[in-house]
Amino acid sequence: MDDKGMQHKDLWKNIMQGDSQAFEALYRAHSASLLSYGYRMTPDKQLVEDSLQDLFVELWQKRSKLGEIKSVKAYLTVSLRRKIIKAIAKGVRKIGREEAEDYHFEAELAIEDLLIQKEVEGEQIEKLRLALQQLSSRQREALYLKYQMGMDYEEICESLDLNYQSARNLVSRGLAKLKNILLCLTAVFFDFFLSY
Amino acid sequence: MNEQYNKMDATELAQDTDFIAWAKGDQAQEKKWQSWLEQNPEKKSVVRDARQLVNIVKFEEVPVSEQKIDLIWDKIRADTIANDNLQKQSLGSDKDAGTKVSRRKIFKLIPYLAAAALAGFFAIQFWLGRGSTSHELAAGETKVIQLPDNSTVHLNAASRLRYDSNSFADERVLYLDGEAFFEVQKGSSFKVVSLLGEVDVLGTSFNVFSRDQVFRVDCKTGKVSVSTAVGNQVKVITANQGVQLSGEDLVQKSLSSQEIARWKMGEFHFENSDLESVFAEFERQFAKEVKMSPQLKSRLYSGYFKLGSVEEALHSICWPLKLNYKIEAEQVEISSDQSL
Repeated sequence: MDDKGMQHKDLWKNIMQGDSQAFEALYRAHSASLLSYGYRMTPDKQLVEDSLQDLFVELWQKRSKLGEIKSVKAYLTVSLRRKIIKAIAKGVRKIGREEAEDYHFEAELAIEDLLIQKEVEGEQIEKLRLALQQLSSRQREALYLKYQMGMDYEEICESLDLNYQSARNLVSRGLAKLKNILLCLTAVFFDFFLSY
Repeated sequence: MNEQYNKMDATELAQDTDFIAWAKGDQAQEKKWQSWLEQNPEKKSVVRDARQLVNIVKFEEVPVSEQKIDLIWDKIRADTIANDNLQKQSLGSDKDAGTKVSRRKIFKLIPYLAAAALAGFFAIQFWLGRGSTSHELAAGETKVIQLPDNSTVHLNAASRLRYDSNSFADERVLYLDGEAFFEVQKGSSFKVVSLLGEVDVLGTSFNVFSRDQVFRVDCKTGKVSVSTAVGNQVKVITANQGVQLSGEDLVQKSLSSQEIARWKMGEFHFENSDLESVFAEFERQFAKEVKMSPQLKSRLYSGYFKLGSVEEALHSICWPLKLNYKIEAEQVEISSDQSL
């Protein structure tokens, strides 16, 4: 656990004792990254923001019953994720769909920007995007947690309700696919990758 | 020191927390990795590949404004800390506080309920008005899709099809990853774009297979124009002709009408295909994972298997090649006679 993790654990303990400043500090430390994670699960931003609000309100209400946890970040992520999935399912039922569809984790790899800078043409970008879509939604999410939110494997397991090996497999397979895509596109974007 | 890294390949290295920190420019890691590289100079290319991977896994940030964070905090505060203070005050002054507070809570909820209803309404509007339509099938699923112009797409398992429903009437463009059979209504141009190449048609029916490094188009009726992504080759094929990408070239061959898109009838035919691609199709159709030794992957197979019984399908593939199979819950293991 790094220094930040320790600090967040201290915050956690203080919240359990009813420290409202610690509660606000916890919110300020995590809200931005939780929101931008949630925004990727659904285009409905309001739903994400309401879920985040509910999460923190409930956290405070049951503060005296909170136990020790391994990772604050993973705990908050998995709680938000469950809330959003529930809310999406409810909304889907409302508009008369037969069954709740799984959410789709939308996260564009930032490579597009780089390609535009390098003046790669429109259709080739579309093709690269197709290639990147070969990453499954779960792989994308696991890569996001690992590389964007900086989680270790134990935190990813907790966030996605997976065992250790499955979490590792998701990331490994995602990376292997990316590697293939790189190989396949090297011919087209040779110039671009040389600059790495 | 740091010997655990010596046997890692690029994808493994790219998952190591310290390595990620270094690739992202953490100076504290510089010394450790430089000295490791000096001891293991043959690892240079692995390190380069791993760095490239770490650098490519960057996601577009969705900006979150300070105001938004403050706004949500105000709502949370109102329902938590501020509410607690209120309760404390009223407890002090009124013995009947319990019911009062809960009544006040309900009043306080009214604007939120209204806001939630409004948000729900907009969410539905947004959901319905969304331009991009996409169909994504898992292994073992197939689907017939009716497009807005009444053209039909038969989408094979483990494939994805996407199009913009708003602009589809003006410009019929579809993005395909996987395999699909198209029956196109006559009209303006109709285009299927895939990673390795694309197909332009008028009214016709044809099959596109675009997976991994394989790109194949078979034309059943009418006429289609096929162009490649790399090298920009163009070939026009008519009914009962097919083209397959080989290197940078499109190789043409004639087919019988029954041969085209037999997957729709649940039949999967192969001619001198390596076992790796045969079992890749098997995995997609039966949603099972196949395990076999690397030597077996390059064995060639001619024949076919059918949907239905897993056992029969495995028999059709394994029997001619004298291979054995073992079926477990989600896995199939293939082995050759000699190894038993």
